[in-house]
Amino acid sequence: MQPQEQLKCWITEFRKLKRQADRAVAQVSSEDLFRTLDEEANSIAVLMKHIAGNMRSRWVDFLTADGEKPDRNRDSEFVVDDETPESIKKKWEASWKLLFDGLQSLTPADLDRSVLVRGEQQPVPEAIFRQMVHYASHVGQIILLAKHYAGDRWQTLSIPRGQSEEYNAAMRQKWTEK
Amino acid sequence: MHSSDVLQSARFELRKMKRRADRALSQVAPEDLFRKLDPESNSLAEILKHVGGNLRSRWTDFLDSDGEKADRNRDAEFSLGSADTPESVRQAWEEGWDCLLRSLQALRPEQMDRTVYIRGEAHSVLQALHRTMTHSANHVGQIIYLAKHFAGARWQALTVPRGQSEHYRRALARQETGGYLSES
Repeated sequence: MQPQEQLKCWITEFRKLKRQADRAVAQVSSEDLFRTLDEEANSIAVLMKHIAGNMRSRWVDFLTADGEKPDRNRDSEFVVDDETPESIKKKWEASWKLLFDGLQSLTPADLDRSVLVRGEQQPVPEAIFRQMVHYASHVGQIILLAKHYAGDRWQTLSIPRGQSEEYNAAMRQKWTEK
Repeated sequence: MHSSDVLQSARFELRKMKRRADRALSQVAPEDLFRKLDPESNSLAEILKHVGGNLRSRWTDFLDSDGEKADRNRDAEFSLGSADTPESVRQAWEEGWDCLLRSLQALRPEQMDRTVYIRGEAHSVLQALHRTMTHSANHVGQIIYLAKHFAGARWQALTVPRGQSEHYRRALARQETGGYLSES
């Protein structure tokens, strides 16, 4: 297997995750970004701020510095009292940019290196898989909340209910014609 | 980088994901498996059926047959009838994961470049594996979220509890363990 293939797979998956989250968040009103299901539950704003904080910490000097930066204040990622939709969005976009720039600058040889996270040595592929799974789980939560809050206005990001068969047929046709 | 390392990391992450979902599910009352936030949203039972159905379809004979099996009824994964019980949805969930983890156990590093099809669309095994990882993680995130909401005050955290990040970091620096925490 070529390291280039591996890098391409990661970039594809991370792009898909960001696109899913962005399309979900776009369907939610500003107030609903901060709504919570119960006192302990995370709002969409909290989830976005937490992902952004984690991602920033991991991807600043990804190969050379510990992924848990001394200036990261994880607990503050769960507090959004002073945040606005714009301030959240700004952190979110800046962190994704760090991730994509970082991934794109990795060379095949870099995949043989290790990084530190909280002092723990992690081979680069392991560190990236962990992130992929971590962000994917929070993106799933963002989608769940966005759909719930959008209600009737919701436009699905996947195959609509009751239309799996049509979708299968259309896809099979598309890929056999090629 | 070796394919065997990638395979090992993927297996490790997937097992951890399953364990976290199971720990979350164990905190949910049987009737809460069928609760919905609103009529259009998915209950835990539907998510379990859907992930189970997806994994079973994708990872049965996965090198040799299309990942969308003819006998898969995806729409049925999102509807619940009298036949759906806590036991039956748990069974669907377990079967799907069993299928995935067995296939990954048998998969050899040199097979990562092979081509598999999903609804006729060609993927490398590596791509299909990534797709499964993010799709499953998406839904496991939802399972944890709903389980926590339904469990309420009884909930026991699966990650670093709020307000304890600093404490955690110091403890980890002392012990240099951390295997029990996936990410944060």
